[in-house]
Amino acid sequence: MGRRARTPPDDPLETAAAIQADPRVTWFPVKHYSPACAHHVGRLIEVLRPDAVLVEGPEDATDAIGHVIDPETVPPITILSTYVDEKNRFGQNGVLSSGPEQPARYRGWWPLVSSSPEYAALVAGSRVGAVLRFIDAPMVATIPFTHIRPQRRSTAVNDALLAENAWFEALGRKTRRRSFEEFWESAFETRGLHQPTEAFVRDLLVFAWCARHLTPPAAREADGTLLREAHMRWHVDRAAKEFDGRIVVVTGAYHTVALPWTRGRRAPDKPDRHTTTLLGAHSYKALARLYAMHRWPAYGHAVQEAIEAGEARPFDAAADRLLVEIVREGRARGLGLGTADAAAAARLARELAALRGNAEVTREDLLDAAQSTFVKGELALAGEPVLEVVREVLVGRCVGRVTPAAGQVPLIQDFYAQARANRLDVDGAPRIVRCDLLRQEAHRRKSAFLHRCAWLDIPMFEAIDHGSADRPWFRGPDLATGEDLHLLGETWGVRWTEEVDDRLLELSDRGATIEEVASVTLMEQLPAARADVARAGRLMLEAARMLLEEPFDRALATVAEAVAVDPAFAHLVEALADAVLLHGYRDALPTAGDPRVAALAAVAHERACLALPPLRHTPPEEATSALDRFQTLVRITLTFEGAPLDERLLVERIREMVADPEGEPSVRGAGFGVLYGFGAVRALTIARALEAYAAATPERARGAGGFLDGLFLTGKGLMLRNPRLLRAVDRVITGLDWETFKLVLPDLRRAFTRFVPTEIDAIGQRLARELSPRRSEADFGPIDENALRRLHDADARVAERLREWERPTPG
Amino acid sequence: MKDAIRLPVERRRAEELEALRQNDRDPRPAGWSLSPRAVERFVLGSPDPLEYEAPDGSRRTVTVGRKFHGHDVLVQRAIVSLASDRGLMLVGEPGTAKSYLSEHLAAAISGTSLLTIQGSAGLTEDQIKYSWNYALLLAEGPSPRALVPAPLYLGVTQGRIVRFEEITRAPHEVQDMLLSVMSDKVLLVPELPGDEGVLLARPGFNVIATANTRDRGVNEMSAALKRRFNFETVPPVARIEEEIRIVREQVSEMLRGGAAEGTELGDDVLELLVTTFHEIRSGRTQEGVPVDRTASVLSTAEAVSVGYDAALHAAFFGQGRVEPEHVVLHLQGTAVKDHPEDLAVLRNYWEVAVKPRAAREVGAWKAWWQARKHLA
Repeated sequence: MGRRARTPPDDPLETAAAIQADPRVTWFPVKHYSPACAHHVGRLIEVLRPDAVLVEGPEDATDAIGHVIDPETVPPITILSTYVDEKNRFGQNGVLSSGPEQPARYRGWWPLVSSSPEYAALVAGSRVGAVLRFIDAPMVATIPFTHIRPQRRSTAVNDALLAENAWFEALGRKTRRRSFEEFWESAFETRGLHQPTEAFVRDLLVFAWCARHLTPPAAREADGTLLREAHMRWHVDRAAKEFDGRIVVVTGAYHTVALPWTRGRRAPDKPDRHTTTLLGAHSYKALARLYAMHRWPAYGHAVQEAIEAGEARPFDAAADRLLVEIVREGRARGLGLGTADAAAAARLARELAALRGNAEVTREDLLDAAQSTFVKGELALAGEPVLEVVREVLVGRCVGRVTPAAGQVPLIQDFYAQARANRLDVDGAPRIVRCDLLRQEAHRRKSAFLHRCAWLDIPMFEAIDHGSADRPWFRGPDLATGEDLHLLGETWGVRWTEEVDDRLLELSDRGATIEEVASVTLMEQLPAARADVARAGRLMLEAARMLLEEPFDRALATVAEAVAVDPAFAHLVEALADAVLLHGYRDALPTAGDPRVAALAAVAHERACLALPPLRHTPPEEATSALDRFQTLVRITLTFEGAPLDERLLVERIREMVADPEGEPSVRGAGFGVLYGFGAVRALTIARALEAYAAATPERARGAGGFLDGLFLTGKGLMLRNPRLLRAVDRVITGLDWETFKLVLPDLRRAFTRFVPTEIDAIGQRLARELSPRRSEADFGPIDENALRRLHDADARVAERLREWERPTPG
Repeated sequence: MKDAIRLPVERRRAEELEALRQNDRDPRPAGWSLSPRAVERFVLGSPDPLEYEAPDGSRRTVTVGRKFHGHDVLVQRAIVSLASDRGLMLVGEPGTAKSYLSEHLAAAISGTSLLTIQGSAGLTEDQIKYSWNYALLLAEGPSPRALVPAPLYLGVTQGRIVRFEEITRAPHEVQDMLLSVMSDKVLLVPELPGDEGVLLARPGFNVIATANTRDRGVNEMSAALKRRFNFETVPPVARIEEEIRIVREQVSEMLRGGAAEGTELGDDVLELLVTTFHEIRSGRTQEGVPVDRTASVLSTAEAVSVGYDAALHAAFFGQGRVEPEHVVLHLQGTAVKDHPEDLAVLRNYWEVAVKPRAAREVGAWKAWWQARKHLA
């Protein structure tokens, strides 16, 4: 490394020249995921045969480089660095995690694909026998900048620095490019690939210099760029002392233009025992989802393959191949695409490239040609199925492989072991898996494993016929939602996808087995559920069906805690119902008959009873759900056998609830119905309460309908058996004036839907008897002619009126 | 004064086309007047003035203005489609400048935009291909002299772009008549003997068709014909500022050379017109208040038409300056066509969107509100 000025030249060309003139260090600028950069850097290293190749990547992954370049390792792969902040070093426990006692977890990803220049540099470096090192700061050192500040992101590899700046904004406008990617493809991929390496590097340095100099320096301080660059420079200085020969330094172009003038300093935070750095296989699907700057991995892959195959025009060749793939896939999906369409699209792509001044077909040319040629109709209507195929083909389904010498990530190992043990196929074909929960222990274990995978969002499920609404790939008794509890077995739609390993890798910082990870993630959520019975209850049910012992115990305790503080009647009844369900749910769950669960039910019952009186203030729009829960409480009080539930308390509290004549009528009515059932109130009292509505203002009289609705919901037998109430109902209804009656009618109708037709008949007959107690049909004497005529006239008028009503309303 | 109500593009923009031709250094597809890049410049504009030699031998400069304000990429794809062996189908809502784009592309590529077929239910094959001078036919029998060429015949024989407007309104059998011409590039005249009856399309021939999505959509076209076209969907103008600019430019152009030239149409009035169209079209005001949509299409082309009518009104009956009330007077005729209920939509818009702005004295909205009396 020669002596150089402390400050770089204030000119992009002079800066590039100065960087390229360094006699010891070859500073190689790259854009991550660039076939052109990969091509040039690989070729240069083969020519220079340096002593060392230093690559931007987490220094703590240097030990894994041997596995990265192992012939048995096939990209896409990823380095995953995780940090579990057990000691709350960064002060985010409880902020980024669910509670202060839960450690915040941080992740950084360094994916490598076949067209990554970093990967190409390592492979070429290994071929020429160079020492290989990663030189970027470890992930833990960047946490304050990348994870905690507003710009936090989960990936450490990013080209945003090159793209998101005033320089490119102006350049994009000038060159009429829609995006950075389009500009890059045109200027540095299709054109750059064919340039001499020296010219390519110079142009890229100039571009990066402009990008950097139009970015406010404060931004570099804030996002940790300066810290990382100082760390990388520290590594370079160290290597310069260590090796006599040439050193090649491969970094993002944005950093390269500053590194030669940066003062080296090691980042203060070092990896410790809470840091884990893994090497895992990756998939293109995950890559496209995770990294906004690399949305089309299969495109880069196709270009890379064409370059390796020695194609003279590799971008054109890649476009041709992908267009054919799109057509084939489209044809398989019945989109009516043929070979002629592929040929037309390929021609169009080339013409577009020529018009835009691109040296070869760029990805944007390819996308435009595909849209123009394959979409046969209006874009909004005919476009989506075609564009979906285009997206899928350009993302690709490629999955990487890591050499066995690296050892497998324990969690991934456990997943596949469990899948084998439970006879689940991982070949990507759709399968229907059935679990007989009652008879077979093995099936219960399989069910628990599947529930754990579902809980962890492992992408291995596919929709089935009649699947449940929130889990379309599942049908069976669902403890969490209370649906289909009558079913004896579960049916799962299972289909392994290439993203399974990505998700497992992502979860790997939480444990070594699926059981452990499911337990940890569930227990992480418990602190936030302490004051929310419903949420805690849901977690308890999840733990139960996943057969997770410790999380279940903790969830149970959390529910008990929450029950003690949560005043919401709805939540308390939900917790009670959960406990009752778990206590009595056949023998499929180990919680059946558990005395701790029964004790929880008793406490929840008591608290729910205490929360009853405020129910009278329920807003009308929430009355239906309040009545449902009220019924649940009463039903459980009468039927639960796991622990004695206090009926007297329930009755007392219902009395309080119905005492207020201003309370929600349907809630009062339901309360009276239950009290009557317990023998705690007389029919006369109920009749008076009902009649009080009719006697009051028209506004209050409207409550009569709601009152009857609630009453019939919980005590319809009263109406069937008690003539006093029947008469009261009759008096109230007939006493309403016409306008009030019209207002009450909807509630009345709903109230009477509580009866089945035979009950309605019985009420009618009884009412007829009540209304004509002393006269029977036989008592009527002969009808004279005048009376008959009047009746006939009246009948005709009624018929006329009815016809008028049936006419359609004008307008 | 102009010598015609409306000149074709190639005459209106003759200077620009000539300047582009003289400065065109890029390769041209066979039969094209300009290279694809020059065609792109003609449609999307060029920032630098071009110098060229006028017919009288003098040196002049001309700035090529932007004519189409949609997506640049769409224009590029359209140009390249026309250089390929497939036709170009422009689809979209009425008034999204499909015909306008097609006209400009044809003028730039072929030097003429007049080889136009207008699709309609009564369109027949002879209106597209050729018919006969029956006096000559009876006197001499079938001969090239007796043949009366129609646009497709001329396009094939001269190697030019043929425009087929509203193709989906033509009967299916007439649409499908294009199949052999577009795939084999041959037009057969069976009445003529031997080689005379086989017309091989000359380089430069292609078809630009347009179809609007409010009429019969392209779904009813045969799959075979669809395969002969590349499709481009032309969306409505998304940004209000852009739409204001388009309306301003096009109204000025329509007024140029006429008795109403020089009538002042201020941006404040244009903003009222375009914002109203934009908001009713999207069903939501800029403040996020939902408003009803009219059944009639309130496109940019309709806004231009209203602006033009209002300018004429101001010129002949006003003080030479377009006032909000002139626009409202003519708005009704555009927005309420065969849907009388649209008038209620407009009135409701005035209540919901215009009134609050008028109350806040925002810009010219008060005058817009006062002009509501013309919505009778």
